[in-house]
Amino acid sequence: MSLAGFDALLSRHPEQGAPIRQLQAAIRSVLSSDESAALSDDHLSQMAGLGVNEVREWLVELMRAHAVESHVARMCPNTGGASVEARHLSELQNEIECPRCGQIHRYDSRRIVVFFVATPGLLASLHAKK
Amino acid sequence: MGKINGDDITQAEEAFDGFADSLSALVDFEKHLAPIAMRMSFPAIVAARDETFMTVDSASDATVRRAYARIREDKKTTDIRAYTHWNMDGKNYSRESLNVYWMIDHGTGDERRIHTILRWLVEDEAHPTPRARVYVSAHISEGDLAHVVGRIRRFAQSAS
Repeated sequence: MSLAGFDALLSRHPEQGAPIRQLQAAIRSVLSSDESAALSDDHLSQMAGLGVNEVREWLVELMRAHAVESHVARMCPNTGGASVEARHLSELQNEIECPRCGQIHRYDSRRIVVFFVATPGLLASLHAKK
Repeated sequence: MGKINGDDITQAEEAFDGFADSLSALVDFEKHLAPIAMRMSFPAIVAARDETFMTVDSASDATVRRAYARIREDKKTTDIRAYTHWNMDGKNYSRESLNVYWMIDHGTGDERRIHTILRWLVEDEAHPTPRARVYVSAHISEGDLAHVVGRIRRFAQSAS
């Protein structure tokens, strides 16, 4: 069974069936081990063997289909994980006391990343019987 | 005791010295307080999965230093110890610091997660007694603070 959003993607881009299925397999693999995983374009690109820009475009289409939603995060320079994340850049404060390392971090655009997370609809399709 | 913003060890040491001076008429820290080996407690705290939560971990064995960090923020992700490739349990892994949440009233509707960073400080000539520091990242109730400090003390005593 297809993951949510992928049938629509295939119907809009029938000539791109192979790469879309490769991306679907990569997303299924990631979510099967961690449903709260961050779906990033560069990681999925490597997993699926596709170009980063190509994956990014598919992810945006999947977002429009409500299969994934975008998040922004401030990455902690000391631990590597997200200090804080939000739906929109404007929600990130200029200065935070990092819950990961305890230090004060000031806003640094180089530490901002964008990734996608699965919506409940996508997770439901992951659990649906094949 | 006041709150120190940030994870600055020098600042913490200076603040602690000031705190000790302010109590010097009542308490002699060297005479009246017994040190506990907090660092020795790290493996036991890591093993206590029913009362701690971790999203970051960095440790070394005799060959390799490894660091794990959940990519998503703490409240949106799961325990790093549940990650397939994490296997840093036991005394073979040493840590300079331990980044851990203490779960209070776990499993109830009133569960609180108290974030702490426990850091071992290298002793030197000025401070020959091994020292460690407990950083608490948020304002919490006295009761929760007492609980966390009590649990750390208990783990340290058990490990000594």
